[in-house]
Amino acid sequence: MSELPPSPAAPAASASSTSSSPRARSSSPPRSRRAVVNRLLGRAADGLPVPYQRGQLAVVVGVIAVTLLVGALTGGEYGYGLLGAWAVLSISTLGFYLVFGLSGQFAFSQAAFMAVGGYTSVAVARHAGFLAGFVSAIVVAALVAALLALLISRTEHFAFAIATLAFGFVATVVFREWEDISGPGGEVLGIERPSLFGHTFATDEALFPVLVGALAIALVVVALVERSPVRREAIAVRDNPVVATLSGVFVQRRRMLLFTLGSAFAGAAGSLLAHRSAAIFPETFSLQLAINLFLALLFGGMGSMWGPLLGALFVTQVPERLRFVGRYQDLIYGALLVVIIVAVPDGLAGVTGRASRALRAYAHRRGRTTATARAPLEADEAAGPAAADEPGAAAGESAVPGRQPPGQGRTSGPAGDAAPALAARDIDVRFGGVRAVAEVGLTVGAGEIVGLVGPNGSGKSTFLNAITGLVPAVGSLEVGGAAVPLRRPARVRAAGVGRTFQTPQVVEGLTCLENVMLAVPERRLAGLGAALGRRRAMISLERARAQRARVALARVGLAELADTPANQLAYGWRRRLELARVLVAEPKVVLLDEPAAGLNEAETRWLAEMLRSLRAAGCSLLIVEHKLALLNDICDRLVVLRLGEVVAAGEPAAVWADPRVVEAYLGGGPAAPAPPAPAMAAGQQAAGTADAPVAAPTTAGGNGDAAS
Amino acid sequence: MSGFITSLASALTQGSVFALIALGFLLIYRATGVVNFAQGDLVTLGAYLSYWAYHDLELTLLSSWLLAVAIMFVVGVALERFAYAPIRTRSEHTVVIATLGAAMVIRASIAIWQDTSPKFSPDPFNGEIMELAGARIPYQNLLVIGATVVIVAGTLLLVGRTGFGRSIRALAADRGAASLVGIPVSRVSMLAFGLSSALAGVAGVLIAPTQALTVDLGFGPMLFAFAAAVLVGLGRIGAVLLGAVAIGIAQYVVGRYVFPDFRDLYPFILMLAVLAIRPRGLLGEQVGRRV
Repeated sequence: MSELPPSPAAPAASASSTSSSPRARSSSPPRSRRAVVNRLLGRAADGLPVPYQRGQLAVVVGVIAVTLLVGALTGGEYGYGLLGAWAVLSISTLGFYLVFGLSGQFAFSQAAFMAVGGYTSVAVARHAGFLAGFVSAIVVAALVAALLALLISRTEHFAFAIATLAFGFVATVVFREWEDISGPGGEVLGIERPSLFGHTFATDEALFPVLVGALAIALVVVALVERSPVRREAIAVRDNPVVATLSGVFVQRRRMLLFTLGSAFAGAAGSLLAHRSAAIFPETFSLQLAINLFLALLFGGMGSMWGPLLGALFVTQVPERLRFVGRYQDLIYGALLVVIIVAVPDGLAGVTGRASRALRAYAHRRGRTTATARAPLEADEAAGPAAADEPGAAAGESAVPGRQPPGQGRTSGPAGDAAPALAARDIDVRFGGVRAVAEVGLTVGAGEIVGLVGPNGSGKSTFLNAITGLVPAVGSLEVGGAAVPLRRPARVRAAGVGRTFQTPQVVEGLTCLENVMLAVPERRLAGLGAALGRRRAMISLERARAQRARVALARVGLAELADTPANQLAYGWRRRLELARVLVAEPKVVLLDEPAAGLNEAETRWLAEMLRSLRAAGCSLLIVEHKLALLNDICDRLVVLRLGEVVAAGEPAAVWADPRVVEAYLGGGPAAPAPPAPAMAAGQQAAGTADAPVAAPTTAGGNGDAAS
Repeated sequence: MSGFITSLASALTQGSVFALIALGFLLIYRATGVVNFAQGDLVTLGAYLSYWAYHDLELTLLSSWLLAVAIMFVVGVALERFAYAPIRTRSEHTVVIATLGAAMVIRASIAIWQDTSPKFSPDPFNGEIMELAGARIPYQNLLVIGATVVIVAGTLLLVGRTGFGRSIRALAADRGAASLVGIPVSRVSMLAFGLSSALAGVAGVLIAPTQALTVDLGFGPMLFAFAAAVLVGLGRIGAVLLGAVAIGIAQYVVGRYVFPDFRDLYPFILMLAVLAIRPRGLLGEQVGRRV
């Protein structure tokens, strides 16, 4: 209860109006400089998440300028040749960044799509010219990729890898054997040099600007994808498909989209490659090229869109530099690959990123006090006291996510005439011969808080998994009176069910803000078309999403950490982040799996307050929990599971008085001592009197400071 | 009819080879959760080692085979130490790419050690051939089939019934927990790699006499072995024999009658078709992910 730091965990409304990143606030000079730069470049990143705060487009301009400069300086056919090869490989690697780096699809097909593009382009260009060939290469590669993705996007990652490897093999054989479209053995020689509008680019030097232009387009497309919801959803799909699904992301569609887009890049690169070298051989696109693309991405660094450029440079230059070792070339190259992977885990871009972060942190320490380092701690302290009133206060305001209660003075308790918020009937789950959940029926009335308890292994989490569609189950489910199919997580979510997990599930590769933005129900303009074509409308929607996400973050006390990557969060913070993600979706029903596990007393009190405020906002809750005191405190009803079956249900006091419940918990010895739980239930109103060994005593009501 | 029997025999022989190769990488897959893309080149190395032991060391054929398999065991242990152990905690992708790097090193080393010209290994039957209903089947092929059945059965027993097998399964389930309950994880891991590599050696010495020995000997069959493993559900050791035979039949029996030029594609088309319908393979459990 110490005094808050001068810039406290801001209440919801003000936190969202300006950027509330602790880093940004604590170092005002860089902040204002950045703002000026932003204004000059026409960027307005205020309030938007981290990817929008980076100047990707400015860097693209820089990269292109440097490339042209280097081209002019090195000059000569040799220099232009190598740079051209780099530009072509960069385009393909950028595409592979979308496929593997962003959406995590372990694909070996990138080289094969270069072949598809190359052969298509050569065949079309023969009749209709280079430009038509180039365009059809992109289109055909994208179509074939979409078809392949449709076939195999449901496979798991090694099976996916092998399937794409097989596709590469198939493509090589087809181009070698299908002599109608190529020549004998798949070779096509004497391909016309590219020409545009009657002008032929006969030399590498003449062709160079064309290749750089193509690279620039590729970079701009990737930069726009980086600054769009597509990136966020792709990373969610990569890092945590379950969370992505339950947040409303269409996992398969996102995978297919990025696979198709990335493969289209390969198609373009293949076309350029064929016309640039005036010849095409199936062997060019063998597994070796696929491995090189992996290497380029790994070596460059998968964490940013600049990695592919560095990686492609390595892959085009190093074999060239290794020529002098003669027949040892492959050996050294392979060994180098292993050494690099062992020594440089996040690639060159990662190394430079870490270095620049370290530099910035150093400058920071020199500049002011260590606000950045302390930020989580501050928030930690702030959360306790702030939490006591925050959730309740927030719930009362109209700007809050979370629907207005149907009637402000609504009573809690089992719903009378209205349809129950959640009604599960005869839910049955089997794992092999084990019946983990046996015909469990459970209703949660509108505005009701129901606790689901039972010994470990009694099927509580499995029940939650069953009704959220994560494990195969039979039975029926209704949400708000409407039937929802089982086994369809997306449908369950769409019906208004949110959930948290026993082990908090967050998307590690995204910031807290992005994690929450993922689940904002407003999902318009989140696709590729909007990212490329309707920027203005898309950005304003993003800003609105960020706003809502910040409010939700503030509500759980994470406003300070909005721009912190979720993988840096400690356990308790992950729980809060999960909760914010659920809140922002404005669910009708929230399922919580051991929300209080690992929380200390103050945090548990905060949680109880939070759950009450949720209910006050019209939410119904189903809570799996072992801290019985918490449940007795906030639940209207309890349901007790044992060995997958419901053994008791009803008001907490009545449930704890039931001998079957005692038996379920204590194994049913007749001489068993009086369990703490019934004692607690009896004295439920006299808060804090029960000294339950299993759970911290919680206080009823809002005087959260009473304990200790 | 004799053509059909010949193609069926080829299918069974090649299927056996695929199964042997698959067995090797499945052992590692079970223990580490990672697919070893160097398996094919290990097969090649095994074949070259036996060729070298027979021609240069002038051992008898059988002892050259045994020596090759023994050396392969050591190679596997070395692979674990140098290419796997240092990056064990990294993402699976990283480990897989490292195995690809190892594959490149192995292949390049072979090319430097023995040049790239094709070699020919003798078989223990001096190329004798059995006549069956007009079809001519080399005895070596029968040996391949028989040895494969024995080795698959042996591996199943090893993984399913022994303490070592339990350790491997424990490792696959949770390496940290396995270590906590006293399983010598790094020894088990080395042993798994050694055995897997020895299996590659067995596959290598068995297929070397059936075809010309080149540095690409093992790589192609490895792709088919992958297809076989994915077809039935990646990770299933017993079923892989089934998958491998199905792949062999698609390639040699179907491929004999339908567009023979494209017969190498049929196994993959079969696999892609199966994956489209059953993403976890024919016999893989079609369950959701547990959280």
